[in-house]
Amino acid sequence: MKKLAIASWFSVATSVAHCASAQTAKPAAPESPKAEVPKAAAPKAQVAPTPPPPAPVVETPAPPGPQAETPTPSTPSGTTPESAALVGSEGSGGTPDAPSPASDFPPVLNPVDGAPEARPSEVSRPTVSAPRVIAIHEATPAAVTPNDGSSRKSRPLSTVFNGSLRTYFDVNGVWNLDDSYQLFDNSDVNWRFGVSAGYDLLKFGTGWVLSPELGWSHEGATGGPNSPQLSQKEITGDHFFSAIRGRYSLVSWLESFGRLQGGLAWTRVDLAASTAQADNFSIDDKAPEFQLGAGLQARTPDSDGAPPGESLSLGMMVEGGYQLAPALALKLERDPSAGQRFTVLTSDLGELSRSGPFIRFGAFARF
Amino acid sequence: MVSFKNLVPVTFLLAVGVAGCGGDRSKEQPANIIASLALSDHAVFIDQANDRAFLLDVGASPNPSSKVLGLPKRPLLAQRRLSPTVLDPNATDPDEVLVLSAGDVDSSEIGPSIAVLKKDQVARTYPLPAPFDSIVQSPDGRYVVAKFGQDNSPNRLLFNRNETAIIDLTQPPEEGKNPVDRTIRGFGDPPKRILFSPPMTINGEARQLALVLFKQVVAILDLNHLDRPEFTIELGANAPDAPAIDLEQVLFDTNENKIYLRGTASTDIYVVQLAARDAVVDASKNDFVPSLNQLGGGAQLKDMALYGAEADRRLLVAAGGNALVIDADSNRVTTVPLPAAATNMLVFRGRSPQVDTVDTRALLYSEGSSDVVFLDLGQIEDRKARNAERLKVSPYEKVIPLGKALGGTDTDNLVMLLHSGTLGASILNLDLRTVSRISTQVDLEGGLPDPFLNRVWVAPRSQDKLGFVELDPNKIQPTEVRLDYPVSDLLLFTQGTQKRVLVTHPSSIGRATLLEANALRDVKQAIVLEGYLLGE
Repeated sequence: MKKLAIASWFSVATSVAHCASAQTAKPAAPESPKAEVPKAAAPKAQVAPTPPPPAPVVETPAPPGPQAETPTPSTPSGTTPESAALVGSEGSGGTPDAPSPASDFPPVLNPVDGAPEARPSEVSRPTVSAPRVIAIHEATPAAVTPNDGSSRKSRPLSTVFNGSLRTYFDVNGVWNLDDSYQLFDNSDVNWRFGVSAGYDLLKFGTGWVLSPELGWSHEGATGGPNSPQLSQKEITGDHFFSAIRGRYSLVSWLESFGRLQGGLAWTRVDLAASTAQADNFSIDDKAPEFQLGAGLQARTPDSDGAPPGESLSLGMMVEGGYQLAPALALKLERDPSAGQRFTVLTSDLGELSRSGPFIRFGAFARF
Repeated sequence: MVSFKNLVPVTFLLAVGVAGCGGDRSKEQPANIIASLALSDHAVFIDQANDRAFLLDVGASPNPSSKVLGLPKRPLLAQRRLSPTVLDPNATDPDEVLVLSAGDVDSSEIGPSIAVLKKDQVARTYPLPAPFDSIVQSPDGRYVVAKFGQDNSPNRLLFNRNETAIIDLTQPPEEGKNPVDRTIRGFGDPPKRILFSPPMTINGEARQLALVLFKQVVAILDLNHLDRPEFTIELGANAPDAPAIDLEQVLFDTNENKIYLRGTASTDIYVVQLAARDAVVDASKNDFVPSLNQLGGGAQLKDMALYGAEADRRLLVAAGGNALVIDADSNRVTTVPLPAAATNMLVFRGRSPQVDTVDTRALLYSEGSSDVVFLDLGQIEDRKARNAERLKVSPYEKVIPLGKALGGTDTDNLVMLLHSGTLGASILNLDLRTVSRISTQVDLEGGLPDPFLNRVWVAPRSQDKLGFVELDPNKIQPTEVRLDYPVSDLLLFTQGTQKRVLVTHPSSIGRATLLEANALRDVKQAIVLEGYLLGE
């Protein structure tokens, strides 16, 4: 556990250093004014700030779910919410994005189900007067109800190639459920230290984010209690993998996720007996390996003023699941010794199961 | 309705729970092989440190991966179970290994036992009443007696040195009946040896007897009726100043139901006659009675042997410079002066260079001497020394019976005289009375006679060579092959159809060379098996 803790802290420190340098290279994002939520709003509503006159007041549609509502006294006839939004986007440029809780993505202009379509003739219509406060729209309950199946189906993928990069440093413990692993380790668990990087590639309207990942991990163990007649019992492995991670925000700082990983495990085993020079055996194996897991990850909140998802964020994650991989045949093989005349048949030590439950602890940096 | 996102933390917690199972395991000890034995087509290695046996298949399809069988705690010794084919050629060899285990002295549940191993399983386990440290088998492998050794000091506060456990290996274990716990009565001394008789018909019932030898006392147990008491026969006075006997050798005359006993410190031969009891009123008592006779040898008696047909039974005794011929019926003693002193003898049926008829003859010799004496036993009481012939040979340290003397059928009467050090050996043809000298560069001590191939195998420890001497009297031809590794042990598998030899080498993981016995020099047919001590 001490080794694990040191590795975790090292990973975090490395992430911080790496991400700090990345952040200084970015232009400073404008500071977002904090939105105030009217107590009367129901369900949860986010409020677009009321701009000072005489600029046209703009309401930015909130991401799916929370909807904006402005306590506006009147709406000018002939001005649709959509046209006002378009006008606002061409305005003074001071309209900040509404903060998007628990999302790495900047708010996006999703057409809201049930909202009226904008007509080109109305878009080109000039604004009427100022100062006025215009309520862009008030979403119908049907449009915001998440349990509405029809509306869910109509939600499209909202973002492609617009995500953030996450770098993971993790410790992956895979449980070996048979006794063969006792040849290399006193415990049942083989620990791997790894690094991986993921990119938020797709975001669904439901709030799920899909991230492909690439990574590598390394394992090593030596000197288990089995077969003490061997003076050297060492297993090392390198795991090259890709993975797809589906993430869902539970709260702004906590996310649950599911993860499917596949890759190549390159395993080397070295065995030696102390009695003779000829008793040196080695095994070299490459095999596919899959992991399916789920877990939780917590991260630091987004920086104030930075676009959501674009600031440096540090986090910790824990994951559990099951690893599926073909068993490693512990067939002893060695080079012929000098002067050897007879055919040598070496014993089969059986198989080392590489499938079993796993747990992964990690730290990550998002930037 | 349970949504997927709610299942995620549950899945995680389940995974953590499963992952939390397991932990450190008990540490395996480095193997300590206390015995290497040969079954018909499997080699057996007993690992005392980890209470297990490795069984290596050396049959039709040799496989370096051995089978591992768990043994009762703390195995002390192992022996191949003797085969009844010694007494009955038509009998079947059970092909088993006996393993005596001490058990856990601090546990009442893991006691001492004898386990019977077959090549694929532990067939039976006989619990023992005490932590015995030695076993003795009957020549036919039916009975085994567990006992305390002479120098034993078990890690017990109290123990009974005269306690024994008698097991009938043809029967399954049964509490109180098999094994039978018996304390053999003595007169102060612990038992020295336990011997078994061949089947003897006493009072109309074929039975085997066990003889327990003390220094001055012999006890006789009827193995067919272990519920009956044993006879304890005091051969000499138990007084401190009484002459010592120190019993050493026993012969059974199954025709006359007589037992001959010889002591190293006595000039007499003791004869126990077993006779039917006239009337048996109590089934718990023996149905025969022993009676004791004493034959005066008149000199220090070194060895004895029975010969002759039923009506002409004689006892031949080596007594230093003389041989004694004792008529078993009349107890008449004939002294035959020998041309050279002898302390041992080998009685055989064969020819002589002078007489081409098969008759009973004897080879008398003394280990360390450079003489052997042939004695033609026909009409010996009349011809006496004229029937003796002395043969000068190179000084020898040991005599190994070969050929017919060993059990072979189609071979000549041969013995091997092992000379000291690197002087090699001589093959002595008892019929022709000729000697063939085999030179060697190694000490041949430990030569292994092979009655099935009529050879003597030689595999000197720490040397990288294996050889044999073909015991063809017309062609004494040594053959040898160089191995890739030095020798630790030699196991013969020449009894079955696959005639092979296994030479083990020093290696903590197990390394052995398996060779075809009839194609020893064919390197292509030999294989080295590695890693069999690493288990399955």
